[in-house]
Amino acid sequence: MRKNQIIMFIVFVLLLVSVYVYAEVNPALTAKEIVEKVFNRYDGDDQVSTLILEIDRGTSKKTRSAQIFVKKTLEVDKTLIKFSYPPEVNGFAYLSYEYSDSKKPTDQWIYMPATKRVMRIAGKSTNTSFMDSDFTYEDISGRHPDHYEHIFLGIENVNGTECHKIESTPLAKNSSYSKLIYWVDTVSYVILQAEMYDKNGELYKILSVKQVEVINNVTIPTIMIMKNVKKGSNTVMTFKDMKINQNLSDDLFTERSMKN
Amino acid sequence: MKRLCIFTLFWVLCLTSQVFAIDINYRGELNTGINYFTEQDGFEGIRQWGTVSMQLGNSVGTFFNDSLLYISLDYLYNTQIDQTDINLQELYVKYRTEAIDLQIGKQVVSWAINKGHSPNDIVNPVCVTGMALQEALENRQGVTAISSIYYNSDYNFSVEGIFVPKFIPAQFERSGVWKQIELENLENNLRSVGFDLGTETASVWNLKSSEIGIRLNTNVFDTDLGIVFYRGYNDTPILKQSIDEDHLDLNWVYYMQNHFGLQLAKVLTTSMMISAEAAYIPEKYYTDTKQFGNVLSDALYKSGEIQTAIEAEYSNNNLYANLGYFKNLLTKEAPELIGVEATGGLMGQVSYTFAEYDCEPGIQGIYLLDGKQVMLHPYINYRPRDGWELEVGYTLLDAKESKGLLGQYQKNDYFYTKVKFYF
Repeated sequence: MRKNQIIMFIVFVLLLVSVYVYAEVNPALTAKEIVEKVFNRYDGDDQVSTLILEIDRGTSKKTRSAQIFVKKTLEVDKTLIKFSYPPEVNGFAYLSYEYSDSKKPTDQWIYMPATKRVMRIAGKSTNTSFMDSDFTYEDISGRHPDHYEHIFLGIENVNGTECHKIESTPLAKNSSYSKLIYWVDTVSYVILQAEMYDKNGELYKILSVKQVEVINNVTIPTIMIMKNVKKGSNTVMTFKDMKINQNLSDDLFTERSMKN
Repeated sequence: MKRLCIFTLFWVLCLTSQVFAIDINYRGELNTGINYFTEQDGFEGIRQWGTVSMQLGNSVGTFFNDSLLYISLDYLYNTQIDQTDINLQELYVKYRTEAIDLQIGKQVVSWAINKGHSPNDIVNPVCVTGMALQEALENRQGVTAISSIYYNSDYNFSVEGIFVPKFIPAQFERSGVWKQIELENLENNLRSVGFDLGTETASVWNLKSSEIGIRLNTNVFDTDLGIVFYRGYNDTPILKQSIDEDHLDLNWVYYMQNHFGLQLAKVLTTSMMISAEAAYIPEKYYTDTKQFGNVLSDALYKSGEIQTAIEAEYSNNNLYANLGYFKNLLTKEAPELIGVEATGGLMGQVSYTFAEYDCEPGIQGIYLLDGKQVMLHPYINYRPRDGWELEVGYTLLDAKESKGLLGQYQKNDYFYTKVKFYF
């Protein structure tokens, strides 16, 4: 009898281990499903915040400051950026309409106070540096899950937070990267860390999220650091005074608003 | 006296903001530079210049809902000739309602879609040669006007209107003295305007020659569309043979024009867009005036004009390129009037930004078909730190003959260095 109990206990433990290993190897969600949860994570219908970029190139340091307004709908994401620092860009404004239809190019305008003109501009390609920082437009815009191939690499701990580890390979040839590795919070699906690899497969940049806040029940990263391993530079991106769901009017995202 | 008033107004605003804690938004630039002219027979040697430009915006919400008082000044000091000049670029009040912006005062109004030559940018036009002669003032001068813009976001269109009043006629004598004349002595409500090449323009006003304009902006089939109508006076300098036929006299012809314009802009891909503008002026009335000597006759000549300009722009990563072609055609020939002729040419710019070095080398160029006139402007722009900008470059001007928009400056190639401080 005792022998049977021991055998049953061992079988039970083995079953538990098997289930655990199976879950580890085959999580409840696939890699793509995890990335889709990241992409579709609700971060508010609109956002207002003050953006501060601190760019350290080793030999020089620069600061960029702007007010950012974002409004998201099913058809289009609208972004208005009003620059306030440094003085040479004070008064400049940038407006973009990014469409959910990927075939439709993004509409973009800039306003230059010296010339009093709102000008439509050809696109900023995704590889273009955002405000001269280590972030590119590809880094700050959403990465659509369908544009990458995804592999689940396991569960790891980042600063005490359990994360899914995902490897994504861009399908588009014009991407700056050959692959990206994400660490995604298993609870909030916020990316807490990312590594970007260049076309030669070498580590290029590292993204670290230093602060995450919950605003109006929405989890938002508010301090991020992008380190360019190759150039030895880094950029701290801080969102201050962030407000979510302010019922921003569509009139805010117009040429008129850029001038005023 | 004028300069004293402007300076006083400026400092009163600054002090008022401190005393009454009125929020004033400001931006300014301090510019200085050295031009070294390399050729004889033109400007020679070194010319140093400096400017201070200030723009102040103050919300006067205490008195009016959502209003803004805006002022912009340029202060120019030319060390070579020890001359200072203060220009009030803009001084206006802006009042906003839910759908309408109203501006009253001296203001800059830009109706351009093209980034190079824009035939429909006629309220505060920028001369094509502005790219070549970038000595001091980079911002355009305002015009005293009442302007309004109505926005309709539901149907995605806006309508701009402008009224530019004109007052008190005067006459520029050859002796260089301005003399006010009576309205009844003016023929056909024409005004006479003195224009001293390269320095000051004295505007002469006539109430009956006030100007009006309207512009409709909308987007159709993902294409920006602008329709322009403008009615106003304009003038142009022409050269005409003297009575004794041994030299050319500089004369001025004036015309009332109706201006019809069309503008289109479309983004083709993520990196590329095109824009095009066309303008049709049905008739320009050219007439010799009686105010100047050596007038041959009261010949009246009129000709229509069609102006077109098309541009392609490419922007990818840190590379920027813009190339445009423009053409002006007269519907009738005007052989007797030298200087009134069809023009056309190419205009372009290429630049590359080395973001990690805060450096942008580039080159701008203009080629005019008439007289094979060329302007090339290579430059390097460097931003060592926030608020500072350095630039070095060279402006080369060449032409088959020393005449025309660029040819007249043929002997004025120059190196330049420029330092800008923003505050």
